[in-house]
Amino acid sequence: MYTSRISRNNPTAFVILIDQSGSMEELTSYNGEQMPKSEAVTLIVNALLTEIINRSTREDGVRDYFDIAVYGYHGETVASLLPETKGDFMALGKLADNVRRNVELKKERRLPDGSSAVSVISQKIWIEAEACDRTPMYAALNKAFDTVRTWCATRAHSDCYPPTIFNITDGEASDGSEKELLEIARDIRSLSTNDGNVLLVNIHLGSGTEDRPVIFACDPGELPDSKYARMLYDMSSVLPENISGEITGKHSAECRAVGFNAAITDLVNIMNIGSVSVNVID
Amino acid sequence: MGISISNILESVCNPQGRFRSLEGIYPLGDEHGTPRILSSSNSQVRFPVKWNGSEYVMQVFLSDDSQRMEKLRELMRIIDGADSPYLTEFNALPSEITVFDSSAEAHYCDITLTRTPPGAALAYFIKESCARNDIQALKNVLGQFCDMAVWLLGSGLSHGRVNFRNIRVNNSGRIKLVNYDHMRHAPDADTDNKDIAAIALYIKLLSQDPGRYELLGKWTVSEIAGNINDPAGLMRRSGDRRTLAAALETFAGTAETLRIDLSSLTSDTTPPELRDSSAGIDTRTWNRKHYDNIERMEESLRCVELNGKFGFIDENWSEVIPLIYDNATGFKEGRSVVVLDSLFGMIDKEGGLILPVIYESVDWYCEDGVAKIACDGRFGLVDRKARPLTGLDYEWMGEVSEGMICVRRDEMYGYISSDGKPAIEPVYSDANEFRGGTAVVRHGKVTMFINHAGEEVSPPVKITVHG
Repeated sequence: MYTSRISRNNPTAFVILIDQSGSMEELTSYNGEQMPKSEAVTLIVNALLTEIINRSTREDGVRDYFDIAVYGYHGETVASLLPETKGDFMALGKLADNVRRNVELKKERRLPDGSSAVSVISQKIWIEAEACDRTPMYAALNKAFDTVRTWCATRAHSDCYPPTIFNITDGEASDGSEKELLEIARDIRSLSTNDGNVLLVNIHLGSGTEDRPVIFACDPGELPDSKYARMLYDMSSVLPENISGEITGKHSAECRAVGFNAAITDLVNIMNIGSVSVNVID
Repeated sequence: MGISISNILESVCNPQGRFRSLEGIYPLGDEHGTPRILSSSNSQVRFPVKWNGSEYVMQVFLSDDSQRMEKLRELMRIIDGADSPYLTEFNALPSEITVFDSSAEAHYCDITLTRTPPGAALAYFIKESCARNDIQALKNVLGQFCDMAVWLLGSGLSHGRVNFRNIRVNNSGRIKLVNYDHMRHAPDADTDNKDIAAIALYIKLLSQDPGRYELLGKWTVSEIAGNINDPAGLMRRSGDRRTLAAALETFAGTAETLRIDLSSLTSDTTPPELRDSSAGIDTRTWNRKHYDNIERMEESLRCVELNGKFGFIDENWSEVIPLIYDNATGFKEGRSVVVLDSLFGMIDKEGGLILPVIYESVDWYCEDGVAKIACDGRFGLVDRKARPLTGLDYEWMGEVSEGMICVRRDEMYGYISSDGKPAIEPVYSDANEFRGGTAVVRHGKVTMFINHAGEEVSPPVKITVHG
């Protein structure tokens, strides 16, 4: 299980759910800069999309190894954040051709000779930041369920590496009870291809003032004594053994695809592990 | 924390102080100034760069591997020592570039730097020559290519990826081999033979009639190589039976510059290690304890594994197909699917290659006597002798079930029969295999059952008998 090699004939799917509620306006630190969480998250998701495209570039261009869907949720709305999406997913090659704009990012670096230098990086932007209103996470998870159910049911995807859903949030759902959230998460995790069940990764962003972050918890006891933390743990997939052993060093433990009180750099690490560690055919 | 391609891009775009020895190097970008990525994988990425006034391809590795770098340094020495006009400058530089990961931690990555000879890729040269109907240019490059091939075959080197992109042609028609990822010192290997023969055949055909480009121009080396054992298939696909047959018959004999004997390259595609498999081995001494894994007997042969390599032994425990493959399936109706370097092929019970090991996947359906093949992201169907039943016409192909195969073309699903003939037009947005005479398909938003004729039918009724 979770061993299918990803190729143009056997692509996989990523669904990224981004909390765009009002609390995402709070400031965080990213690349040495203070910025709203909403901006930091969108920069990270844009960087992740760039990396996936980079890794799927071959001599004949960008290959459609991945189907990508990105949804933002706030107020009453769950909407695709990708440009010009007709269906739920956008194939990677089309995504590469539909960049909204480029921004210049600057990073200060300490070079090996001890001097410092500023790197200028051109970042492609597909996803724009937004932060307002409440947190309809239950609706967003339902949208992800519908999207991924259709993808898995397509005959051509039956032997593919199963889809991965990243849910990035900094708060609690405003539209679903604990029972409803656990049920929809269970329904998502029960979807599958012949290569395994859909992976649901929940990443809770901290504000920097709470307890230490807990990433890929292998026991609920590792989490803060919080009902919400426990719920996110229960909602999240058990990491596949081949990934779990590599990142946690605990081969026998059942570690969950969950991050709680995660810093922005933890978000980068979690998404990198969940995305670029899949077995793309060379 | 590992490094990403984006991290490497940052250093390549901001080279000041990031390189240990390559002062003044900078990336070549697209029209927006964005550095171009030529290709990538999970382990490496390539960029075009300029250094000391010349263009190079820089390959950066995402992880440390001292053995890999030692091999690359050895390759650098071999290429230097070969002093061949057909090779270009190649450098392997350990820990050359400083790269910062997302936690701002510095890493030192190995690189290779391969000089890009002036000119264009052979693919582009051929396309342009055909467009100009420049038969002389094609004849000239055919002669150059054959001279290079003769040198390569006698050099003791195996390139491993001779194709239209890895051969550069300059303004004078001189050619050079580039991309040494798979190059190694292997005097007895015939890894390159089929690709060389395929390219020679291809240029020869075009030099006789550049107008064939539209017909043949979209073929890859893999497709040509896949058809080269089968002139009938080649002719059928080219659509020009008489001239192509004549070309094939006279190919090796008429071109003075062509010093490859095509027939000797292609008549027996069995690798020498297969043909000479029993040389020096007293197979009677082999017994069960030598193997890591032994499968059950199928069609008088057992698939065995030793040190990660697969082959076959007979009932006397004699090794009849040596252990050279990375994987192999048991024989079914005289065919086994084999895997080498992540590529698939199919062999017969003598170990002869029925399908060369060049495909992304091969699935053998012994009951129907057909194999589903995938090449460069496209699917096709061949029979047990590797004769094409379809071209590589499909984006996806399902299993053979009830003599029908679900296929996708232009993102729509339909069916072909197991002899490769179209059966039900691709008009569905999703479709499944036939079971019990019907298949579930989706047409727009409507999911329905169809029969083998493509007619909508009522859902099958499950009858349970009690008592």
